[in-house]
Amino acid sequence: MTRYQFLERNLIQIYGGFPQDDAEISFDLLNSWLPDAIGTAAKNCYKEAIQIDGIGYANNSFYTTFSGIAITTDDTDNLCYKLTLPEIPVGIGRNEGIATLRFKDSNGFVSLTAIFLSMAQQAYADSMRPIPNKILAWPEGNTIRMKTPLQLFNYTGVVKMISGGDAADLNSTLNVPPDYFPGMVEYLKQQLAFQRTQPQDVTNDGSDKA
Amino acid sequence: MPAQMSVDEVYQLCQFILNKSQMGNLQPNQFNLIINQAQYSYLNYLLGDFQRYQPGRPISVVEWGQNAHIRERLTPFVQPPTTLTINPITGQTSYPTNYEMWDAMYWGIYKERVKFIQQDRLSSHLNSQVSPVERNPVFLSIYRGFQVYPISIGTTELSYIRSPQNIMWGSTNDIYGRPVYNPATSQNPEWRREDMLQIIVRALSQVGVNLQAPAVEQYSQTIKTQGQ
Repeated sequence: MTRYQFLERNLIQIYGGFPQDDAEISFDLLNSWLPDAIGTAAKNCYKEAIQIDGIGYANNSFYTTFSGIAITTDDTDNLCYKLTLPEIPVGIGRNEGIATLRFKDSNGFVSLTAIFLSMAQQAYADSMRPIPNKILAWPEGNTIRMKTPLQLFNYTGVVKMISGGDAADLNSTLNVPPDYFPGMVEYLKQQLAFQRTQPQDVTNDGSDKA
Repeated sequence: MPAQMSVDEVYQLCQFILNKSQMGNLQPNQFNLIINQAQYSYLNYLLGDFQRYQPGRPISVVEWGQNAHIRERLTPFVQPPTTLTINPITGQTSYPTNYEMWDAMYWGIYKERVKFIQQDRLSSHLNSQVSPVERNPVFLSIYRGFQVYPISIGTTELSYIRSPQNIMWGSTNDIYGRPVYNPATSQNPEWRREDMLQIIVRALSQVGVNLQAPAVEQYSQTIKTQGQ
């Protein structure tokens, strides 16, 4: 199912039919709530995995691969590089929102994945001798910082992370397993039904009263 | 094609009712005056009379777009989507010909909506990062036209309700100076027959005759059977 189809279905449900031209809830507004719903679904998947298997993980269907991400030097540290992710990873575990980070050179060769560290581990690893031919990485918000003696200028990043897909393209496939759609639908309904029930101030009289 | 009344039939019916009510004679110029006032009164009723707004809910009991039945009554005046060219510097465009009330505005090849907003919400829409105006255009009503954002939108299509043509009972004088119906200088109503009965009720109320629409219909049938 594409993002557009999912959002359209929600809009029809919220409005009790096809929305009219004067509908306040636009596709863009609904799409802005979708990452929250996807994050909630991924977190629920992670918690269910712990309950069932005793190990935390998110189903493969939540993951998306982003490639061609530019790498620049990071002036905040020595031998440090950084890249910008398309979105902030989901906050499950320490950094389980990102599965792998690999590097592609101009010939199309893709490296092994970087070794991800938590913030506590990063501080510890910083005092260790650099591991030859290995890249240590840690996410900070939508930035991944990488520490390595290697020259990463000529590489681009290839990231596998939990993401609903391309948020800017409504015709892209929604990367969420369908068994988590009901939870997402309920989340969106809660937020937008709340919006619709709010009394509207329809008079422009200098008073913020509905 | 829905049934319609000719202007002569309407005039004869009004004369018949007035005579029956002993309210005197209705001159052609008087008829032309009251029938047009009546048709605009009926138009206002179908669009949504302010006086009939419900407390706390600005929706009339009868209002344009409520259902297909009301929409059908106004279809003689609903114009097909008309292309409006938006001024690329000001974002403004003038009303189209005989504009009365907008129905819907679209843009682009997929006919995406251009949402109507009032001036006090313009700032929120123009500065929205969640629903940027470039992908969610809006329009406002201004003096003699519309203001559209984004101003670079180019063209839009407007579906609107136009004003009805003035009903006119045209005449020439006979040798005795009496007005005789002249179809060449007359303008028939554009409304359906059942709407004309409502308009006739309104017209006659202006000359003091208090009738309900079924009574007017009964008179109309009497004219048909007894002739004019």
